[in-house]
Amino acid sequence: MRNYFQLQLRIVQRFLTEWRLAPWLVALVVPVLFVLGSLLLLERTAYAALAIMVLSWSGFAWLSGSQRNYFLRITYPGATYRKIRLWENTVIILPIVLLFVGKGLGAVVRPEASGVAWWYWGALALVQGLVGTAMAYRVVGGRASLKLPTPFSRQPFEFAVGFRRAWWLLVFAIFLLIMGVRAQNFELGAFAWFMTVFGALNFYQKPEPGFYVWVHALSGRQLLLRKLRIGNVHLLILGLPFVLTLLVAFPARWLLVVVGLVLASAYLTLFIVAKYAAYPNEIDLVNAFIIAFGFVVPPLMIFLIPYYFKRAALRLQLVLS
Amino acid sequence: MLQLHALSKHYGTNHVLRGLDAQFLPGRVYGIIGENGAGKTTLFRCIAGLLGFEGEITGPGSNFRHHLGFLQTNNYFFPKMTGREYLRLLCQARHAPAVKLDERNVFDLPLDDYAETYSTGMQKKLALLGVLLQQNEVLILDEPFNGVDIQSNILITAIIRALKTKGKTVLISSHIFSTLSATCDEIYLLREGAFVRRVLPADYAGLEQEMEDVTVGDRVDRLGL
Repeated sequence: MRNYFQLQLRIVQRFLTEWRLAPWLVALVVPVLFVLGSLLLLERTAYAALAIMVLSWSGFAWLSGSQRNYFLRITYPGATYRKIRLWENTVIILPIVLLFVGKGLGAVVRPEASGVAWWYWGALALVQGLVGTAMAYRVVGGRASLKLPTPFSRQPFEFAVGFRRAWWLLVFAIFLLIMGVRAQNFELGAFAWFMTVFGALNFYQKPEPGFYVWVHALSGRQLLLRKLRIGNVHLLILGLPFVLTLLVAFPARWLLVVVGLVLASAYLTLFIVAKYAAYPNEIDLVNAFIIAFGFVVPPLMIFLIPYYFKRAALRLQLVLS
Repeated sequence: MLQLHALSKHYGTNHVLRGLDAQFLPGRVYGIIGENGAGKTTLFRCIAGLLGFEGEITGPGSNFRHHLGFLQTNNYFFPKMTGREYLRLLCQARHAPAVKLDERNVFDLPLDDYAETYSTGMQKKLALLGVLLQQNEVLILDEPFNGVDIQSNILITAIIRALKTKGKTVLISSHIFSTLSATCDEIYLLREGAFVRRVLPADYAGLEQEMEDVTVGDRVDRLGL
């Protein structure tokens, strides 16, 4: 087990070195950034705790991937496998539990602030950790015969595959949407909608193997336009329950919903063109920052999208010509 | 016609392909044989344009790669993608009709199951079916018989013969000599990146015997069984 974690550490170090980041610096800065960033976020928005929980859950889901766990199961004895998975989940959930506990203790020191909610969040994080570990202990491949129908099956593959992998996010988002409508809270409903938008961006995160680009009888530009067209149509289908619900429940905020639609489409467009501008590599850290900046300052996307589009079309043309 | 002229490929000082010249005509089936590491897969990947190379490769039409079907040795399937979705994706990519998939599912694959859950042989058959449904003019089949059952083996042989009568150009690699001798009009022997022999059907038996002599030699005796 020790060898396994040493190997993981070496892999992480190699990634950081590739990104030209000093591993020791990252080890110092990341915990500080996590604590400061989380505290700042928790102060500024009521939904920050929820967002942190969703992030940690996506971490569990990634660690519970069937191929990864199948490999671990056939490589290590059962007890070692379970220990590895327990430690991995602990690494994800422990900082979050400590964060909520810290907030709870802070409220005890300052009696004017109510800290009960933080203890609940801490307990919820623990439960999430336990559920995540239970997911890891399930029989790998046991659910392989279950096939989730998807409205995106006609035009594979990104949304069809992504939807099946992240269906739980959609369920969670719909739950939040219902909560938002019941509490007459537009912001919560909009937050739920954009959770699915960012979930959909994640469908495009990994560059596909070269064969899946090569196989198209199209030019680079044509393939990119096709990807954008299908992606945006699918994004609209995915967001339809949210858009319609928000329009019906909050008719006075229709303009915000329309702006949201444009923004969602722009986010996806930017993400797709940036992905293929880096193809066959993953988006590097510098470009990831530029994209994130574009997300925060949307008018920038007017310049970023054409810039990445040109580069992406050229990149794809290299594979297709 | 698919033509290779002085095709070379090297990784640093490692020369994988050394100045290959060949012509592959429509309506004919060509076998490429060689030991592991002889350069077969590299050759196929160069023809498909998946690898850069030196020399020249010309094919039918302005962009023959848009009419080239490539069955790879190992095929990647996205997790949680059904067999049907895979076939649709491949057809749509080549503007081929993705219709009557159940009827055209000649290998009786469970198309609504996730492709990642298929056995090795089933995955091979799914990938082959996808390439066939694309209706390509040139087909490269890298180890099409690997891992498939005996019934499918017979079916694939019949399909290759049908492709030939339809005027397609087919390139196959296989480690099972009998499958090549049953389908190929010519066999190229690739050794250390060079075509060392071009063999016609009349000489297949001699080639097989020669390969057995060279490959086996005294190796079995050396095991000391």
